[in-house]
Formats: sequence, C-alpha cells, structure tokens
Amino acid sequence: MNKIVILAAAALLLGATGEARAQDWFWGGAYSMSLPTADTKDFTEGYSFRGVTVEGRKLLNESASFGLSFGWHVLSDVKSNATVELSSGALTGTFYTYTNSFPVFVNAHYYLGQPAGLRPFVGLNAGGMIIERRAEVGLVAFQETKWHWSAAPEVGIVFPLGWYVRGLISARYHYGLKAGGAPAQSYMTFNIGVASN
Amino acid sequence: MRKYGLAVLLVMLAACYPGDVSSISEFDVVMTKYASDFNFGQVARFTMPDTIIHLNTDDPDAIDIPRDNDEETLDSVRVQLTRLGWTEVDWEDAEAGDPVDVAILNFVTAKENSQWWISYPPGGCWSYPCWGWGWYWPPIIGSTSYDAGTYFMVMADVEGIAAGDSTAAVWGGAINGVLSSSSASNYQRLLNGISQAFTQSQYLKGTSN
Repeated sequence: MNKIVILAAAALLLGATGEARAQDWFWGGAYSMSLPTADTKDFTEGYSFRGVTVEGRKLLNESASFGLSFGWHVLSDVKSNATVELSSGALTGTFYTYTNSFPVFVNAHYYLGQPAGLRPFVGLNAGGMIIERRAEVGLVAFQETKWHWSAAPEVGIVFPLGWYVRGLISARYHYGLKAGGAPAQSYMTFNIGVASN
Repeated sequence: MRKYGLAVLLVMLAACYPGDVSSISEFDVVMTKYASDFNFGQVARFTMPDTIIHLNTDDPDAIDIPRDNDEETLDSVRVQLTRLGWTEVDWEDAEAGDPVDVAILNFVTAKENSQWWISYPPGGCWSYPCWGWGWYWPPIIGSTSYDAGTYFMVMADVEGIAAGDSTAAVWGGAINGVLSSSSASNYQRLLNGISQAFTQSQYLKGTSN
C-alpha cells in the first residue's frame, strides 16, 4: 500500500513540474528501491523499498543530456540475538542498523531511439554520497556520517505517457569509495518514476 | 506547487522509517570480556559467595532490588560453572585455606533513568537563552523515564591476589536491560542472559582462547 501511495506522490510531484516547460530541461522524480552489496550488505542486509530520487536533465541535443541528481535511499536491518565478537570478548543483543544514503550527483546520459518514442539510455553519475550509518543495540547507539566520493553507472528507458509527461524506469549501481574509517559503500537502486519537460 | 509535491514524498518516506521495538527484551544486552593471557584450561576449582552484592545503593535514583530470587540466580551461575567441569569449593572452606583457582563474585545495580528535552518549532528560538521574537513560540517539551538494571559476574584469579588489585579479574559478564513491571519477566530475562554469557564464552572450557 505504501508503495502505491509513494508512486502517487511521485506522479503528483511530476505533475507539479508542468509550470516550467522549457523544452530542453526534463525534471523527474522516482521511487527508488535498493539492493545492498558488499560491505553495505554486511551492515544492512536485505532489499529496501524506501527511497526517492529527484533529478533534472538538460538536453544538449536529441541524444545527449547532462544534469543533476539527488536522492535519499534508506537501508535497514534487524538482527535479533546476534553475537558480535569483540577484542577479547563478545556482545549479544538485538542490533538495529541503518544506512541512510544521500547521493549528490552530476550526470550525463546518452539516448537511443526517437524523441517521441521509447528511448533506452545509458548514463554515468559522479559526485558523492553522504552516508550515515547507525547501529543501535540495547540502550546505546553508534553513528557515523561520511562523505564518499562516488560514481553510479545507470541504464534505463524513457517512454511517453502523454502530454509532457514521460515514464522512467532505470537501474543504477552506486559505488562510494572508502571514507575515513568507513568502508566502501555500494548498492543498486531500481527506479520507477515520471519526468516532464 | 513543486515543492509541496516533494515535501509530501519526503514526509511519506520518513513515515515508513523502520525501527519500532516490539518487545522490551530487545533492549537486553549481554557482554563478556576475558583476559587473553589467562589459561582457563588450568581452572578446576572455583568458589562463589552466596551473596549478590548490590551496587550504588546510595544513588538517589537507585531502585531497591528484591532479593527473592537471589538463591535461584546464584544457582543458575553455579550450574553454568559446574558444566565447565569445575568443582565448587565452599566459600568458608576457601577462606580457611582450601585451594581454589578462581572466585566468582556477583553484583547487581538498577536505577531510574530520566531524560527530558525542549525543542522549538521552525521559526522559533533555537538556542538558550532565548531572547527576541522567538520566545513567542511555545516550546515542545518531552520527557521519558525508564528503569534499567545490570547484573555483573566477575571471575578473579585468586593466586597472588592482593587487596585493591584490579588486575585479578580474568573474565567478566554483564547483562543489561530495561526493567519491566513484571519481576517474573525480569528474572527470566536475567536467567537467559546468564546462560548467554557462558554460551558466548566457550573459551572458559580451556579449549582455546
């Protein structure tokens, strides 16, 4: 049910973008689902249905664009009665872990197909991810927030929905380099949204 | 209009943020530590006084812990120690000179913890002291309190021990949790915690550290 409501809100968001219809700018929003990998998966395992991505793309010509992309992707996990080995000891409890990722990217995309039809695309996002990792056990919590220099290759498809609105489906792999003591972070997002120019 | 659409989206995202605690036992934590240079394989005899020492009783927020279950609690510790293959030596006999390898002491403490906070809605005053126009905005005041307790088991190497020697401890276990209004529930969670402390300390069997 939540997913339906969020999709409806994404449509609302994009419907509201109609007031700025410069033909060479596309504004879009997407509901983002995340699949963690590697160290991110170790900390917060499991598929996440919590996320949003907002972006704007300026068309350079019929086949290429550059733009900006922002997101909020939430991963979480609960490990009941989990035991963690410590230096000369161990700790057992129910661990709540959270990864909140806020990507801030500039991007470039290349489109196939005709402007009025189905348009598969590939793209590359580059910039950083502000990643907050938080672990709660018992009555204490540990948290760190780091800026990870990041890149995110992307594939997807844009298709017409009518008027100035287009549907958007994409998959994006986020990879953030190590930052301080925080390990490299990585996850996939699967995005379903709409865009308008 | 666009910003309202975005706001709706973000609020809905926040609304489904996970993390609700469904049971008070989810706050329970069992922590154990050991001295890596101590050979637990050489331990064969232990002694343990028949008393649980109550700590911090002078603290005004301390909770008076009933002693109804002390004997059963100590028995549960004793059972775990004998499962290691160790033999118990009566405390008085040990004091009289009967040799033992380690002594196990039990402690408990519990207190009420209170927290409160003041926050101001957007447009209000964000710092204290609060001067100027911001004071027109009423603050949001919240508070919470909970009772939390910790049970400690400390194992000391009695060989060469001296008064005030803090390095004699070779193993320690702590069971910490939020206390519920049901003493039976608290007691059962304590027993579970004692069992878990030994489960995660397999090196006590002396096979490996």
